[in-house]
Amino acid sequence: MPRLHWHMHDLPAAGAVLSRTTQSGPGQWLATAFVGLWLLTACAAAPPPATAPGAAPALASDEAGLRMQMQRAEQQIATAGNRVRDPALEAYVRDVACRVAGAYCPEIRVYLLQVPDFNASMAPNGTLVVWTGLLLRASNEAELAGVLGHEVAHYRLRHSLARLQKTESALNVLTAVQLATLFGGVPLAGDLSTLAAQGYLAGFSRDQERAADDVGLRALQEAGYQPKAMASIWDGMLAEIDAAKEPQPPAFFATHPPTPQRAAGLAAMGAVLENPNTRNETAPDRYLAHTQAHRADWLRDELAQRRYPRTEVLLKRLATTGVRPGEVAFFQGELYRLRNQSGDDALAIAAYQRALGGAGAPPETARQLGLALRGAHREAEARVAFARYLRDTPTASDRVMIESYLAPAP
Amino acid sequence: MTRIGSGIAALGIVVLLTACATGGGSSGPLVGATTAQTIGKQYAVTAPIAYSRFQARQIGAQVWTVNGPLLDALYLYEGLKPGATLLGAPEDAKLPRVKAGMAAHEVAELLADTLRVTGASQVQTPDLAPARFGTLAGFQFGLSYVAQDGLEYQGLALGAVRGEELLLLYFTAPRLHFFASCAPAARQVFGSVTLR
Repeated sequence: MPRLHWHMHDLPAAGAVLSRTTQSGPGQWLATAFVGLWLLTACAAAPPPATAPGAAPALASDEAGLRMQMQRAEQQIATAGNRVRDPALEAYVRDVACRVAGAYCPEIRVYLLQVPDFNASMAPNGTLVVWTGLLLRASNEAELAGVLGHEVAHYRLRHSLARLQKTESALNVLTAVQLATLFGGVPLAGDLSTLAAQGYLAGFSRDQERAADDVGLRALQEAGYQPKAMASIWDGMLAEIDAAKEPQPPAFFATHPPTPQRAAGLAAMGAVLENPNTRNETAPDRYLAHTQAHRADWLRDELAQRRYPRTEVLLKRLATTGVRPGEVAFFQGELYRLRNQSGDDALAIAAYQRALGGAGAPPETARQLGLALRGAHREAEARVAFARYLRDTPTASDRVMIESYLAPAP
Repeated sequence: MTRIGSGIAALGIVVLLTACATGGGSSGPLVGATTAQTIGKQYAVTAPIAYSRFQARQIGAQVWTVNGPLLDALYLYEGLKPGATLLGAPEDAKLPRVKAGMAAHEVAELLADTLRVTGASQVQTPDLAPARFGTLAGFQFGLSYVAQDGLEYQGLALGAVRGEELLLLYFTAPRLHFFASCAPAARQVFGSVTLR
């Protein structure tokens, strides 16, 4: 099968895509409509010319000024207290980014920040920032690659420069710079949701988003990843947002509108780009192996946000993506305990017990079960759980506290 | 409430600004070791050294400091009722809340998650153990975290549940120099609690 190339500047290829889609059989009409609409709107966006790999802006240009601002922000990101200092994980994420960035790889510097929201951004100087909330939510390497490919596409298409050039006042210039640096998790001033509420930014970014989807999905396919992966991580976030009913969307979606139409468009384009002659790799095992050591910390950060409907959806999703059942069940128990609604104490006890019966339960599971049983006045069972905790975790720093629970009442 | 840049240490600044802006408290140097200081209606403590004191009514606590709240801060809560948070701002759904009859582990989690929500990372509450809060059976634990600016903090906490209220004192300071310098006095304050 000939390899499909399509791009917003490439109408003949778009025609080829539509033709191929139509010939694929029943059920493809909807996908065809989405792809056609997508390409038409992308064509109308008339984005600035893409940057060439290794190209540097003129010294006196707006772009050089924007890069300079970002270099300052990058210094803050590099020394931020919430930077994940795990060279192996950082190198892994960089490898994934490089696979979708191709010739732009040498320009990318990856930073992982411990922030429990879904977000990634690439600044005009090559700073690629990934939040741990994204790493927690990606269920395989292809999904991560899809988001990173999208962000690299913003970089390739010089969208930050276009945003800066569209601003009309000093205030808006400042806002654009703030937005760029906010994506790095280093807010210079204000709050992302406040900035994103400004109409000119939200309206402006949608055309860029379509263009970045276009370029990013093609890069995903060319790197040998499953091109449907971008749609699947999008679906996961849509499910969380639907469950949450929060007034403000997660940070990433303030400028990446998570509409069902967009998700459907991504799915349709992914289906079109799927090529049986290529690997269509998703690599869930490799992804889980690289992120396993951090997942419990990321889930604790997630639970600390007290957004239980979203977290419940997330945990259900993790249970289907290869995360060890004991780990998922433990954090479901933690969610019920913290939510503390009627009946949640029983749900928490059942979840902890389920966790102890499955692989991957954290060491503190037996302790949490003991505390929950103690709260339910099931003292004998609590003592058994505490004893198990002390036996399984001989170096626990709260050992003296637990032993006090086991001591006879005075 | 938006993220506070330097985690709980920045709370000190918030407290000070709030107190100044609203006229909501009194401040001034504490008298030394011989004078008991009452903390709300529940207990009193004795200061072994001179502290500056800021009374933050919005969070129901006093904040004592030697070098300024970013460098050392001792928080003395007057008695936290169910539903209260450690930062005030009761409308913020993200902030963990006090529950009636909290277990010691839950109190450590309350402080740790409050820190996490305010932007701290690598939050740990080690060495949870039984301790006396005056004559009450209470608990103590350590504290460590990294603020958003990369500064590492260390701390200590002492708490107890009396009736429905949580009584809590905690001390936090940068790990480098200030914790070692100021922690001994904080421990003496912890040991001086007398119930009222």
